[in-house]
Amino acid sequence: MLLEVKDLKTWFPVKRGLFSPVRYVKAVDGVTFSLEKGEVLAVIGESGSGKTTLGRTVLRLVKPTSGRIVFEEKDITFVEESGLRWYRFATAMIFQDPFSSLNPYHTVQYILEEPLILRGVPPRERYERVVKALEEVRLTPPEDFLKKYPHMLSGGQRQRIGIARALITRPRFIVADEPVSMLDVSIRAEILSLIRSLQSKYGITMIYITHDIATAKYLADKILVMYAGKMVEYGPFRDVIKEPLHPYTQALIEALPDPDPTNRFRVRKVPPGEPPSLLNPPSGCRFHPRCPAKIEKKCDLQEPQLVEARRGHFVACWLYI
Amino acid sequence: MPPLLELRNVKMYYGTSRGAVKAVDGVTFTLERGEAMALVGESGSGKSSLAFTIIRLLPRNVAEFSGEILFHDDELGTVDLAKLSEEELRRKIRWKKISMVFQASMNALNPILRVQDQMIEPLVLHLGLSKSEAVKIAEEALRSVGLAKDVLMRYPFELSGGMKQRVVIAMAIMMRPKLVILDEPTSALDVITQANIMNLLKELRTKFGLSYILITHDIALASEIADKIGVMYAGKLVEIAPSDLFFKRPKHPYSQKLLAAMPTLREEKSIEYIPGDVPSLITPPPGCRFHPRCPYVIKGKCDVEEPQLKDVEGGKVACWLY
Repeated sequence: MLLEVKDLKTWFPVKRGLFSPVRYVKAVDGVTFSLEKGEVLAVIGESGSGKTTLGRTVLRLVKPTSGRIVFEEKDITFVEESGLRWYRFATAMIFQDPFSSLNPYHTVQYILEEPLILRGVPPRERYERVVKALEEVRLTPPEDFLKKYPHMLSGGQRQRIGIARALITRPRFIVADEPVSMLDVSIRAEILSLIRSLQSKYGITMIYITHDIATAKYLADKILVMYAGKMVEYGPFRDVIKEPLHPYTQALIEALPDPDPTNRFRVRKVPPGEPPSLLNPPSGCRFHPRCPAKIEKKCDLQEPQLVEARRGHFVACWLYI
Repeated sequence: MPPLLELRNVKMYYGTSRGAVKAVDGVTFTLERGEAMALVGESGSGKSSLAFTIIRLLPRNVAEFSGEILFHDDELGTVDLAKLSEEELRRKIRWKKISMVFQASMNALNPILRVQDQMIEPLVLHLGLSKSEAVKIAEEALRSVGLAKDVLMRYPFELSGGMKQRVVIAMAIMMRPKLVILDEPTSALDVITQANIMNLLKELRTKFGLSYILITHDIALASEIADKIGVMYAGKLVEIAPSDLFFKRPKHPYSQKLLAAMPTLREEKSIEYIPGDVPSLITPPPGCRFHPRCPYVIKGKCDVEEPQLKDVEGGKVACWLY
């Protein structure tokens, strides 16, 4: 197992006034999953579901509150920054916004070189690797891009630079946080297939964070669905899409249109409302106020535990307990 | 009965230090009463510029503006929006006949004004209604988008993204316009909220007999509402066809590529992508603007002569293959 995450919690303290008690935003509240080498996990959820915090915590950019993160047999849950240098070198992140994640004052060459400088790679080799990285993300000829600044590039080209920067150090594990959501649908396809081909070429293990299950389909082996900080469903991607068990996962799939002209004659059966505040989430199952299948006096009182409802397919819902 | 809106060879260029940007370059189409049309295309295809041109919110540095934008209305008769004065547009057209939901407009709500003040401002200022009349209209509009009237007294930061988007939609429909232009109305929303908003738009359309022009880069979203699809590429309309035909057999190679590049959840297919980038609108390629990226390019034809929109099997397409 390359990565094992067990009952991970990341809570952020919030203090309203001087004498009021500290309250917590439970951004990640008990998440468990594991990844073999080369596997891709899609983490699906709406804004505020805690999916980004989960990704950042697993990379240890954020300190967890409790739980366990084991990477290549080493427990890194609470290790101090000084002991994490090897982990930083083994991991990388691809960010959502290609417009703000690249330093506007640096050239493409420097943006790509910087992680190599930090790792003490000699200049000659650095140049070769930068050129190769640009070729790999299909920015060719590479010489045309080396001296460019981010503002001279299109959104798709910038995101390729973001991917090249993440991959140039040959990381073993990557977190990609909504890497295509800011791009036009027509460019998404290209960036997705680029990520997919590089991921499988180098056998990189990956967490792909997104709100869009359709794009996840092209990358993911497994899926983990989050709602208001909780994991509600987890399993092999195909199984979950074919037979979504949790009413929330069902709603996510129902909400997503495929191009079809008969769509205009149907009303989508989606729950009303929006996800709750993480500062004051609903009691019991956090989805119960919006759930079409809610069981009175049960879902609103007791929190459902994660159970294996089908082989390798887990769900946290009273309908399956 | 005449159609609701007719565009004839509409051009809108704006000037920059590097030359004129041909954002809308000779667009012609008609929109029937009660019809919903989607304008799809990549960023930089001119689809938003076209929307702004229709309601005449032109950029300050406009370099050329020509063509006819005929609006046929029972009350006003036929008016050419391209020729109306700013004053007439404000008094007679905007909000009352044609309204617009702007891209990311839910974030354009003024954070220090109550919802009520923002909703009634155009009614009182531009249309000269009294405050109590305006509040009544605003209340009614909120009810039609599924919000309680106490939302009027709230500030935008107290509302969720979906609620803000509903407020913006309520503003667009409160004067019972004939046409609502929706510019990426769900782009910043979560998937379930997006589906709820699309459901609402469908409902409002039947309830008030609205026509829509939906502007989006997402063809799947377009299929949620559009009777007719118009595909824009580099300032030109390259195909326009009824949805039922378009999704079955897109004709223009660009439309075909656009559909093939769309990630789908249910359908098994490998996604393709369109090589190359959207061309510059300052110096667009000669001939057909898509020819440098087109797999079916005919040398000596597509790169020299520009194809015009032509009737093909129930739709219109601008491509030398037909």
